[in-house]
Amino acid sequence: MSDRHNKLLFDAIGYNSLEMTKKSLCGHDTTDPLLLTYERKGGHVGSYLSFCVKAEAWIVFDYLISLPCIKHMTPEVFYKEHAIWLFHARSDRAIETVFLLEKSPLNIEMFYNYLFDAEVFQRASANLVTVLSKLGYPSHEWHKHKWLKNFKRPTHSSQSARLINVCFYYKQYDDALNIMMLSKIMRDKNFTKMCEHNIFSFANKTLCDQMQLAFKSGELKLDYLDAAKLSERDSKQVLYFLQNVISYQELEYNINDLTAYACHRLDKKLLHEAFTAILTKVSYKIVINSLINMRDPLLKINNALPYLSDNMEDRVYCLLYDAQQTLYNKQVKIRLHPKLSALEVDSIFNWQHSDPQFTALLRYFYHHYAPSVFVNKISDIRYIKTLIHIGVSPMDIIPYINNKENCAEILSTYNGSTV
Amino acid sequence: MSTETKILPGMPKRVETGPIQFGEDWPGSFERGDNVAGGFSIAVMALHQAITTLNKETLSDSAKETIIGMAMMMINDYEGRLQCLSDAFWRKDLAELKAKLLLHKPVS
Repeated sequence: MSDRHNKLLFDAIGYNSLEMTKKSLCGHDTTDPLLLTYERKGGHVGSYLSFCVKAEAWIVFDYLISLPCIKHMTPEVFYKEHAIWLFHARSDRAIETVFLLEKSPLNIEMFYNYLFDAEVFQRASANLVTVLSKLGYPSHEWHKHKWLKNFKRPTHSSQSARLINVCFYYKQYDDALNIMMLSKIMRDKNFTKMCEHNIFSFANKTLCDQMQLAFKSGELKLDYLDAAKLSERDSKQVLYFLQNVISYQELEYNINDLTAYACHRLDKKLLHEAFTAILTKVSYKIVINSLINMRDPLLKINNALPYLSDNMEDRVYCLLYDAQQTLYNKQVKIRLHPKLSALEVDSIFNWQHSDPQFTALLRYFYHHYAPSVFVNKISDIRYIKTLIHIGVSPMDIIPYINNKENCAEILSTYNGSTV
Repeated sequence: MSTETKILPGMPKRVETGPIQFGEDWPGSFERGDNVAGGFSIAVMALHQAITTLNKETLSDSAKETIIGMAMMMINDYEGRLQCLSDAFWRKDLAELKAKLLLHKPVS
């Protein structure tokens, strides 16, 4: 095809003229004039179609797409080489036409697979979900197709996350939800990260209900929230989750996870919000029991308390404090981390050095650790003195004090009295 | 600036419109001829619409000036970009459109 005919074809597109289009393509021996142009000029048939889309020349578009060179093109070649131009053009009308062009299950899967290719998806029509539904593929039917099943594989989770983001962006929550539930993406630890916290930002009642179910069934775990790199800003979203997604029953069942999560984060604001949210939903007793029953409770509580000591609500403080005391009184045998550094031990004690209950905690620690380990770990002479005050014999302690000054002070203080 | 189209060896894959760099040389911008031509076919339609609007008697002189000014900007832009296409068809179109537009220019 000469440049003159090329010009004619472009003009035909500009004017959306079928007559001009036919004129530009006629007079050639080949039945595939478009393909000929493509081969000679290194262009893509799809690029002509994209010009049609840009010019909204739908008469020419429908004519060109019905030409043998496209009609008889294998779906693989069409989608891979040419359909990309339609995605560039971001036209629902074009996507719809292409979709209808090859409406067999095999090609639909190919279409989806191609569509969800990382690069192409970015260019796909944002109203894709609507278009697909309009074509008779509502999201709740998508699970019937192989492409969605692929999303269960971790490598594809980013694709479904991307689609979910599109759904969220266009406030098509039900579609987002369907994809989410069908693809079981909630099992992916990077889910919240990939979805850029949209779940929390856009969550509506339906989504909350479904998340509750997922939470209850164990598909959604609070640990996953950790992957979202929660910051001060993001703690609002967690709070939203706590207040709106988790019901009383779920809290009761999952309080261990929740509390452990909040303690583990050691984020003052988050802890405060988390515990406040917990306390508005469940009874004091349930929280105490749950705190006691969680893994490494004392360590977690002790870690959490210093973060809560400033300006925290009394009831949160009391809750943790009571749990701590209950733990001690019941002599719960729990495993503390054996490699707590001296600094960590100090920080655990520092929070309430002047508190009378401190002695109880100190005794607990002393009995938990071998004296040699414990005394070596603590650097503050006040702890050693407190230990002696609570009835531990200085003779049991002195052999393990590495610091000469501390040792001399203990000896001088207690020589002839307790020793 | 050279106005002559340099013909270089073909690339194994179609080169898209966008920034291009040859080896270690400075990068530059490349615009495919069919992209220009396709865009121009749409622009021509808009320019014809502009001319139709200019034919309206009720249009004030200042409105005419504005439309002609914008249309001329578009034409000047394509005059430069269409230089890559060796055939004269596109430039002929441009010249005709330019002449038609200038016919409507109000006499100051």
